[in-house]
Amino acid sequence: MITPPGGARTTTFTLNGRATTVTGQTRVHLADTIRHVVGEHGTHVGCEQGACGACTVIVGGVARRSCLTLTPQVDGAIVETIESVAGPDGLDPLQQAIHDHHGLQCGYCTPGIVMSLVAARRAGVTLESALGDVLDGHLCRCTGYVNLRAAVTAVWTQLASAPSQLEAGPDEVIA
Amino acid sequence: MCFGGVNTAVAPLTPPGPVRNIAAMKPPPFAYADPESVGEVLELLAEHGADAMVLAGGQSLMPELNLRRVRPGLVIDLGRVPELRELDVTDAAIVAGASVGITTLAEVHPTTAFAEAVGCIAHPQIRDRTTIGGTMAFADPSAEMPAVLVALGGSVALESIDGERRVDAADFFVGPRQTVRRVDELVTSVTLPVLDGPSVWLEVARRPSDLPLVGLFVGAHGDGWRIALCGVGPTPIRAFACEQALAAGTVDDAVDALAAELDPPDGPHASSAHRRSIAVSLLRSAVASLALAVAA
Repeated sequence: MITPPGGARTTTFTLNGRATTVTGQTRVHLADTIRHVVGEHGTHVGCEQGACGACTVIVGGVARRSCLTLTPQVDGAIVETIESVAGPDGLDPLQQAIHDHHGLQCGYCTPGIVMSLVAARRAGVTLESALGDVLDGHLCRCTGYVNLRAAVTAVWTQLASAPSQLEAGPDEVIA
Repeated sequence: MCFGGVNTAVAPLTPPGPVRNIAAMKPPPFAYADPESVGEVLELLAEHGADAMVLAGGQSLMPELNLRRVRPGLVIDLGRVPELRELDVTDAAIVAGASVGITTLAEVHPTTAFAEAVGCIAHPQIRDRTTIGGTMAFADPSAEMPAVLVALGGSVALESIDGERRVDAADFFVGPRQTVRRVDELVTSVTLPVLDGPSVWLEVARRPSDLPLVGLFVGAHGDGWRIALCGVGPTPIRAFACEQALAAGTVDDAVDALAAELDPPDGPHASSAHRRSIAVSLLRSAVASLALAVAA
């Protein structure tokens, strides 16, 4: 199917467990669709070149840049954003640890960092990889990473003593 | 404990109104196609090739689109073409469909330097989306994977509606972000031979995860060596004189040969002399680490 320039296309995906249908131009990237069409504003937009990581979301279980994803590319996919992370009982342990260790100041980069760490925790990556490779994919201009690293270390240490906290991702498909 | 907020009981999250035009549209307008077979892609390229760009992992094309550095008339998304995700692993070589991810290949390719090079590419959030066909077609002269392909003596399969041809890595890259691919051709697969000896990838970048100033592959294969570099010319470069000097003589001979056969470009991040100096240092480190590997 070819959608002409400026033409509208309908994309259906699961966003945070809810079947979501959006119609718009194919050139709108996923971050702008989530923010401006769906109206969920937790996903932030920074550099739009893939460098800063503020827009990171989870698609099909893998953390990726929503600014480097065209909206029609997620047709049929399961997308998770920061809005899905806290549960009815309060903050996720990752969010709580970042709060406890003062791992944020302005908070602009935080939603993307949390999504990368949620994906990394699910994938069972090592603490070394979470502190190095995973945080390396995010720019934080306020904290200098010291407090973020403390928060990640606390969560991963807790996981090592209680691995049952390793969570599975959502697996349902669009109804 | 399971957080995740997955709750199907709430209403579908569908915004009101049929089409909502938003102000935030960064890429220029283009037609978008998501064909479901290689045949359909080739038909599109035959008709629109000169004005079309192919979207694979999107980690190079999407920034270019967002910054409006490119303005294709048509974007062809390969995401719904399952043939391009096929992977054929044998003892001698891995043949990877163009859409196979480099992190997937790093898990199956037995040549040590392959995984080491992949580990140097950006960070997981980008690396996990990078495809083997995309990085070859983009052909950035500083990028790791084209240099690895040249070192392995691999090849790239190109297909058009007129047929298929397989181009050796040595002939595929012709300039900065330039390859022999015609506008009506698609990179359909990449053949990545396996070396029979130890190998190592080393690079120097201004920050970890940046494109390197210089990257170096050194591997043993049969009676000889495979040495290739990125960041020291308009294309990835196979250092033939250095390979022969290393096989015949000492590390010092190999260093002299490498310094003589490289003519790196001057640039804002590093002068020609600095890049040559980095290449030589990397060669000494690589040979030393391979000697340790062999001794072990």
